[in-house]
Amino acid sequence: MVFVILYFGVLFVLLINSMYQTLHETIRVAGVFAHGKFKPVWFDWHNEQFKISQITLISKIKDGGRQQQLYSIVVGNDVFRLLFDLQTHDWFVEAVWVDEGGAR
Amino acid sequence: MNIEKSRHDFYLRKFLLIDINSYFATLLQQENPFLRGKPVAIVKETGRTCIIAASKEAKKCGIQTGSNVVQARQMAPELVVMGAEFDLYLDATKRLIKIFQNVSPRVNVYSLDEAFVEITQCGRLRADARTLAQNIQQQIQTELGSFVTSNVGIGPNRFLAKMAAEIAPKGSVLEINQENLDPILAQVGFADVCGIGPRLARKLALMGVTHPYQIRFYDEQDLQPLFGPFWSQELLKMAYGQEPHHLALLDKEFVNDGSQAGTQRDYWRPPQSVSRSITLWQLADDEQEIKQVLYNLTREVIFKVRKLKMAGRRISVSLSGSHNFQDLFWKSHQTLSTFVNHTQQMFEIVYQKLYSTWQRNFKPIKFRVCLSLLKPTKQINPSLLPSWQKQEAVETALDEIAERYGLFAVRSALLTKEKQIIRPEVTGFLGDKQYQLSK
Repeated sequence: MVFVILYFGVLFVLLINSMYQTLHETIRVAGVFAHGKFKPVWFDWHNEQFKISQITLISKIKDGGRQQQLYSIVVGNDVFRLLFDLQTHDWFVEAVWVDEGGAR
Repeated sequence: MNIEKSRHDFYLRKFLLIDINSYFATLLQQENPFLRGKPVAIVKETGRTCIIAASKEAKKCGIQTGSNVVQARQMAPELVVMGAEFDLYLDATKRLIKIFQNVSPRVNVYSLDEAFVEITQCGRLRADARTLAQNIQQQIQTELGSFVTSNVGIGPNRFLAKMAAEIAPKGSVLEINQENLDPILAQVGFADVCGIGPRLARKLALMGVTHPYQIRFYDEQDLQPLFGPFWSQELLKMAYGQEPHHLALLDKEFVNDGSQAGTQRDYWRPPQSVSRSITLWQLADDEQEIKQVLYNLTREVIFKVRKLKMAGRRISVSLSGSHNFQDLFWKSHQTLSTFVNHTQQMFEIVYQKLYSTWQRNFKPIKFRVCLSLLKPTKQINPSLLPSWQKQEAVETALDEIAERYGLFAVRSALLTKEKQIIRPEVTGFLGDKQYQLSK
């Protein structure tokens, strides 16, 4: 019995990790081109407009030879990852940051 | 070995070692402002328990690389545990390399977050080394974000540049030169000495040696019975601040082909092997699962080898696992007379010729597949056998699909379950850097 409680205790400790919740939903994005780079300004998701207050990191990622651009952005008190597929030119809201088992 | 004799040319070269502070955690803190100021621990993937990196804040609580998540939470209850984001790290590393290559063409990428830059020949074009180092620190923050800080060590060789970066306060620049070399070697602990691991340090401690400088009090004959001929020489080199063998080997990463008269360029030496390993979540006892894993790893190895335009002729497989609480290991290899760069051909050898000879005396958890003795395909005569040419056409088509839609967009029926696919990842020490940095 003690072992069972310990096992679930350890499991619980492991499960309350903070993490990005994957969404991968198509969105519309508007932005500006400046100095040869695209800067997203806002995006439409579920008929709601989200204004981007900060771009914290831009990363190029690839699966095989397929290239995508990942924008890590802050909207109010939320952190999102927006994904731009360089082949299809589709935008996705890829993930949202959730803290300690629940959305912020 | 005459150490003193080789000291006359000691200060002729100059190196920088740039080390991003707590790289894996810092980059995620840069990405997510809500993580800044909090202790953050990085595990290989969500759910794993071994911490592979810790943020500055976590390190202050005593959490180190290799700590266990449960123990770490006892030290810092507010600890945030996150899975590593190797794609982000690799992209950031590529951007860092561009910064370094703008300074000098001689860049040795030592791991994902560390690189040596030789600036010996930049003297006439650039400011002094310290100003140059500070410029690099600024450029890193401009490129990756203001939260990303770095240490830069400057030294007459890679060994001392790395030592300087290790002992410098976070976010600063430190140079080891003729004036401060001996005091530093007399004060630095072996944890900050590249090349002396914990086992060697424990052995030295038994002799009362806790700092590199103290090794000078022994001669080679005293050290040989304890450390053997190779390590006694290496220890003496390090005692005088000279570059040990494993760092001197980095010079061989460059191949100077001298093809352009007057503007000799340095190129990275092609890799000699490509391997892929994986540790599963639990011991594998299902034959089908083992077959899937071996095929999956083989496919990735071949994809990388073909991307590098190479083929290999030594195939090896290793498994590790446990039985009756005992760690067990098995490996086997085969050297062929012809070169291989087809998935099916390699998998047949991996599975039917090598794996089938295993006694199955334990349940494996770690798998490794390797293709070595690599050679560029342009130096190999292609086979005229119709079966080989057919397979080559299939592989070429697969390469093109992978290029466009991802590595496992089209895959063998062995890998039907999307969730079970082991996808390519990059490791912290960047073992396959020639492939990862090839584009």
